[in-house]
Amino acid sequence: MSRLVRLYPMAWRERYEAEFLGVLHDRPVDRRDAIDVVLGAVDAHLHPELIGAAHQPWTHRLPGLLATGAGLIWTWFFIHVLTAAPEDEWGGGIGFAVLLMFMAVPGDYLVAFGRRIGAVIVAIVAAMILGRILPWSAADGLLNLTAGVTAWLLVGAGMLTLVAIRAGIGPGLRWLLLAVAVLIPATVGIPILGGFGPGDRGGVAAMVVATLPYGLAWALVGVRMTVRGSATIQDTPPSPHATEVPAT
Amino acid sequence: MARIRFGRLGEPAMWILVALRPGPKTAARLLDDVRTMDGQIGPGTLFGTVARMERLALIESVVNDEGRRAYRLSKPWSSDQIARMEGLSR
Repeated sequence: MSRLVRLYPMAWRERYEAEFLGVLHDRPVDRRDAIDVVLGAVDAHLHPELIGAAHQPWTHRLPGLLATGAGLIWTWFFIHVLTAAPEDEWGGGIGFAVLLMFMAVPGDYLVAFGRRIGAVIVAIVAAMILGRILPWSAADGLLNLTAGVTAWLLVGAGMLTLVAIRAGIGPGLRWLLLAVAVLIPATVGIPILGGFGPGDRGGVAAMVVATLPYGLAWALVGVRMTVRGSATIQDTPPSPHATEVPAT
Repeated sequence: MARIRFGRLGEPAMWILVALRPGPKTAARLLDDVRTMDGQIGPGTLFGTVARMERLALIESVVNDEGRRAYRLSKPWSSDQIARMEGLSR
């Protein structure tokens, strides 16, 4: 039970941990108390001002909520694919999840620069409309597979790394997350995927194995980022004195 | 300073005020007394409420004779604090 105290923010623990552990050690603690402690930890993260830390504006919760939403949509979508959907329904859900992932990384930068970003989105939509009108199509085969795998490993892993850094996840746990969510599923899933033709249910299952952990990882990181709060990328400009790297 | 809200912790806060009326108590004793009066509140609820009440200066921590941290009602209460206390029951 005392391990649950680690769920609380560090500043909170510095102030109350000793008393808290004293309370837990002195008396029997049941399952309802355990749930109460977990809810108390969430409350402490949501209200850092209770222990004198700076209040988190709602926009600092935004990136975490977007990441959580992206992860849940991603996860739901691939479960949906496995159970029912034909391949021609693949595009929309994944596209929306990836859009939310991109939005989660810069935080409330999106709010501060909404007008300029809106202009970019309008340009993208216009380009997509043009793409529908103009008679071109992407090349099939090896080029597409190579581009897809590269994008998956570089962009997907890179995005997850960025959002994990923003969520305050340390390097060791971050590498573990990448291994479980991207590297291992891709290593296992993509070669299996290559053995199936278009429309094979086995190929769909391999796709799910390769991609489902990614969505779950985003959802978990998103929940952590929502609870901790995460400022916009502009709130912490690098200091010329803070970026010195010690010689090895 | 950000506005401190009690929400669902308003009722435990009232019970803590009542429990502290006789004098300072440690968190463990406070939990036992509130449970006696109000039923089952958990440690998370207790410390969430205590943190809010400390932040609003409704209660304050002191070190008791055994060298342990205890809580007592802060006094004298200002009219602002009385208004906050009245707000707990709404």
